[in-house]
Amino acid sequence: MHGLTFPAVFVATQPANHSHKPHAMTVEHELIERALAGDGQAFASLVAPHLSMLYRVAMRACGNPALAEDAVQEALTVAYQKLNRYEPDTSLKSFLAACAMRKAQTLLRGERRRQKREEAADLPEQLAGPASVSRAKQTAARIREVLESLPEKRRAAALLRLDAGLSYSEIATALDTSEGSARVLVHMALKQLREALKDLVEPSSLGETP
Amino acid sequence: MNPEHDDDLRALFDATAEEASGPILTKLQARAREIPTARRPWWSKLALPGFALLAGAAATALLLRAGPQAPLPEPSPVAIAVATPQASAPVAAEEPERDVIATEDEDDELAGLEAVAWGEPDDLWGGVGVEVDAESDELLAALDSWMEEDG
Repeated sequence: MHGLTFPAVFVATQPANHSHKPHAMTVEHELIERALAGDGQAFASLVAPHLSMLYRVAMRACGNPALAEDAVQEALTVAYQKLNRYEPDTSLKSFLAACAMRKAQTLLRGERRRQKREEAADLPEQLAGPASVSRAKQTAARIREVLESLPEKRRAAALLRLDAGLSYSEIATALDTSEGSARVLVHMALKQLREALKDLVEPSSLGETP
Repeated sequence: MNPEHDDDLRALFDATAEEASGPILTKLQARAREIPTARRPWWSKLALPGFALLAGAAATALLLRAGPQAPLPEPSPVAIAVATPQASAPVAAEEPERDVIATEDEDDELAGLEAVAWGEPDDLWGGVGVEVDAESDELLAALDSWMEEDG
């Protein structure tokens, strides 16, 4: 996981603010301590609020449900490995989102390599044909193609902004950059997306999207 | 950049997002629950079997070292005399039998004591007591008559 410096980034860029949501922080801190002691239920409770977002991000990044599940699990595993250095008043959400996105992309690359090998071995195509894919899935596939055409950081910024719903500061944390740079990355990514998906973004087309 | 500017794209992404269904979320939660136990350090997983292996290896090494011993030099007669009573294996082997015998003796003694303590007093002393009393009466009567004759 290159670029993910969880403890350093989280401690350095997010100053402690214990006056904000003290009860939630106490609960989170308690859950972290219990999880570090090996309490699986505590760890599940800690990450439960983010699971839906993580799956959505992973699905957008790889488009494969099985890979998305694996990506989420691997992101959670990385998070647990670094949990002892995590400070409760920093953004677990942004770290998990960045992790899930990168894991999904890594798994997708591996899956594509495997598919290429299978195609080279003249195995039958295992993906469903276009006729069986719903329109929403076709649109999602097209968005994924456009996302993949973006430079890596812009793609990550767009995904974290539009699917994970992160703020600019959280995106900056996740991408290990400044908030200003995160804003620029998001701006450029969205500009490219809007151009490439012009027909889908226009209000008339958007209304037809299921 | 104004955050409102991404509303169009956000709507498109929301419409095409593939959300986790209930079963998938349940599965992910179950996987999350297993992570703390699955991510224990490798040596902690090996600790128990490792200790068992080490203990087994140590025991084997000790046995191997103790087994093919080189012949010892002949001990002196004094040493034999001193060592013989202590080092005889049959004594150690007989110890459990002695324990059994001792236990049986103890049981008999205990049974006797129980009979004394809790058995019927009439059976033990009843008959004897009557006879003793009769003899005593006869003796006392003879003594009385002898004293009267003297007197």
